[in-house]
Amino acid sequence: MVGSVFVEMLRRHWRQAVFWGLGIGAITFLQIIVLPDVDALQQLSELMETIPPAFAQMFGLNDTEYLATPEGYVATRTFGLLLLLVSIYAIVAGLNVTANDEERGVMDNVLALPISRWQLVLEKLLAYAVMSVLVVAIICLLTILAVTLTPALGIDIGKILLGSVNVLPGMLVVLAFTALAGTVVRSKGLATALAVIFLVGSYFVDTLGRDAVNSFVATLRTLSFHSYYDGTNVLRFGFNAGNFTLLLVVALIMGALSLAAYQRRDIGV
Amino acid sequence: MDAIIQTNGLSKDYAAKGGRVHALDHLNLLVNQGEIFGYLGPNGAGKTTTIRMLLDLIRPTAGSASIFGMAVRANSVAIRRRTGYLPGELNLWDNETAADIVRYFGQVRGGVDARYVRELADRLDFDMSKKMRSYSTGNKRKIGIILALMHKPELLILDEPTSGLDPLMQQVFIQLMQEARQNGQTVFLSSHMLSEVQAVCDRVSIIRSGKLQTVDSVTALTNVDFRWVTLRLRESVSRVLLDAVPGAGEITVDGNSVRLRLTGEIDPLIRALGDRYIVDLRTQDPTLEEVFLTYYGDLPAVNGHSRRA
Repeated sequence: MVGSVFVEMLRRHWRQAVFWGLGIGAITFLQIIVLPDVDALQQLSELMETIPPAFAQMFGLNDTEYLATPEGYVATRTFGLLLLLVSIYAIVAGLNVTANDEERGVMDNVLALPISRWQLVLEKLLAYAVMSVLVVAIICLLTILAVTLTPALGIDIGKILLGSVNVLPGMLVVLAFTALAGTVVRSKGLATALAVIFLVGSYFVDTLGRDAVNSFVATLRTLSFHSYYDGTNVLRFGFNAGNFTLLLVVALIMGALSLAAYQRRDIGV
Repeated sequence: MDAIIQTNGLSKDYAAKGGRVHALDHLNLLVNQGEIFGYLGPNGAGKTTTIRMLLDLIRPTAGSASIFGMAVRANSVAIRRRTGYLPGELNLWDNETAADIVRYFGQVRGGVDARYVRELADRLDFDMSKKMRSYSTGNKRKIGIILALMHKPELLILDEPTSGLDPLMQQVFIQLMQEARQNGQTVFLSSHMLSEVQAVCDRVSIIRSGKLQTVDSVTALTNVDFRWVTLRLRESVSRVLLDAVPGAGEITVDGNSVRLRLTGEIDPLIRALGDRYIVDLRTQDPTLEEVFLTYYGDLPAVNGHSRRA
């Protein structure tokens, strides 16, 4: 029956998504609750200026003046690293699409049911995409709660909402890539390794490429999905609809490729 | 009779160290509607490979297969809707209860009768409320049987179905198979357990190293032209005398008792004994196991089939 796999995945794994949301949300909550006062932020800004620019860039500390504001601090500390954190969930979820069941030998039973391979992958991908939204929604709520509890910081809740929504396409790219890796290769270990290389490699290529202007790495940076996610500047300059749409399209293409890839190969035992 | 399963030159090769392995070599098979068809062979013979190709889990290197007259690759969903499958090694989600898994599979299939599921569980004496990780091997087999039978499929594909079941449950399984036959369901049953095949199957195929050795009815396979003869005489008899009997082999003389394997007619043996007083004479047809061994083991050829090493 159409939708049975989708509903079953939500039933089984929504709690896991809530825990991930609460876990990552707790980090963002604490980052804001323990936010230093404005004077301390100014001192931090001065300290940052003593750090070599390349090193500061690696941690997203581009503008020390902006960093000295509460919003800059939240943009850098919270949203600068949020994609990396939620991507860990996306990898775990992506492995659940096919790799885990195939590794356990469960897939023979599932694919003996009257459901096509593409439908199975599609329903699972959609379920994990919904749960990714749930993870981000919980993080967003906890971050808004922290901002509400510290009104002196004067951070706009709308910007928190925008920063949270902005992380979703990148997260879906990681989810779809991991699912694709699982549908192309039989080994769960290899699929995991490919997903981690994709995530970490993309992050470092983006970071290094930003510094190494006019170099090969700078050219390579255009291939890094991280270069289309700017967690810091979305709070400062607003939403980049082009990058947002591009990442969503990439996620959709990867998802479609995973449907096609799983049609072709033998199912492992 | 309609063919439910048909394979034509079905082959599967795997890449392996030092070249390619022929897991299945040009299999031509025909399973008719309403029969219980045994697919017999030792581990690694190609039984599971065949089944996985029939279910479109793996794709053939060459040849084709059809079920219900439909090509398995192009119509796999339609075929699986009418098919129940029990894999040789049943792996399910350890953290889910059997009831949840039955419910999930029932929802994907649609139209599963919950009363029939409960009836199956009762007959197999199976408690569905526990999580999968807490079940023994035998209980996991029971959930596999329920999942395969619960939608009353036209075709059952069962891989080593009674492996791990206790003798009582094996009897329940045999009853279920007999009921399936009465209901007109077709059963393709893979096994390396001869007693299981002998108990339920109408026809048997024997596969070895990916190649089909023979297909025949259980009756025909066991009705070969040799039998075991056991004699009890009033006096001892010379082994030399028995060696001279045409068709006699594997002769064991123990005092006044003789046991031998006799191919052909019994009259030459009686004549060779002359006027010796025969206290008792018993003949025993070969078991399917002995027939099986003629294809795999050390027994001489039967019915013209060549002996295999």
